[in-house]
Amino acid sequence: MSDGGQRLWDPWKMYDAKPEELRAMKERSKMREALRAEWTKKYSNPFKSSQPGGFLHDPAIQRFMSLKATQAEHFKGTFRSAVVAFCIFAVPVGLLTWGTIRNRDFKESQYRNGKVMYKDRPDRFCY
Amino acid sequence: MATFMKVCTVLAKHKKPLFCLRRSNLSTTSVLAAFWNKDWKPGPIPRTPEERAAAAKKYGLRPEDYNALADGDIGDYPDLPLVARSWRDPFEDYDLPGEKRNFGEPVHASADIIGADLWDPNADGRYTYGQMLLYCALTFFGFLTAFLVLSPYQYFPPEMPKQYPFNNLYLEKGGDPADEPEIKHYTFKAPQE
Repeated sequence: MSDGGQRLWDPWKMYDAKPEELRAMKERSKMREALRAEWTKKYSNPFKSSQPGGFLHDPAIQRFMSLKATQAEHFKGTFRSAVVAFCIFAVPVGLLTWGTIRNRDFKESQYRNGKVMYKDRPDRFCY
Repeated sequence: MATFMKVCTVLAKHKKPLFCLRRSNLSTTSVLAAFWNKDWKPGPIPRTPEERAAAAKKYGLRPEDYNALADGDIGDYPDLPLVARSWRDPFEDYDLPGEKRNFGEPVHASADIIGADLWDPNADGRYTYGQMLLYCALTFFGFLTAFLVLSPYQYFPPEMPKQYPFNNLYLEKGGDPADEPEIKHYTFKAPQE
């Protein structure tokens, strides 16, 4: 490679990236420069606090907020979503209700039939 | 008295009840800089190349970088790579350095969960989910087993039985006053050698 000072390629100009990637990076940086110029203009405006709104409006954030606010409109009920909802809501609530009522009825029948001493109640410290 | 008369005259002039006033002296509210969700929410999934180009331009992406999710949960909102915020370059000059974000940069649809101190989708690796489950189960059932196996062997700190006054509360417990026993819990006599 040492050719008396003569280089085969210029390390300051040749990058470890394919030409398409390089072109893509240049296009992206051009778009970002435009956005950066817009940001600098708005952010350095000395009267920005007297403009209505109270914040610098960012369209990307606005689109994200609107997406989150309206995301439920795109919901489509499927069999899987119904099963998931059933497993998260109906099953635990139903099981707990059934178990609680059964346990309470058992205890009540024990108390009313005199099978438990007052001092031996299992829930004497809490209901 | 003078202000009372003034108030009466003013009220007499304005005969409409106060809550029916249409024209008030206060400033009217006007919708100045409100952004309505219907204008900014994502549209339908783009099908043709022109729609894709228009959607990419709307979101500030190159048409080659733009991809919409196929199942339409988020419409034409771009499907960006799911990378945690902590992976962003900490030394870049951001417009919003606290968020490590530039102005106008498209926000991921799940940005609220891939925040800097939140979930990192690529952080798994130290333990597999199976290992985590196994260790939790071992700990839990280990403690349970210990409890069940050792519960017959209860330990109480060494204690004398409690001494109650009045001959162990003989009368209070319903004993016969005629044969009340004499119970001495102490004596002031020195112990015999």
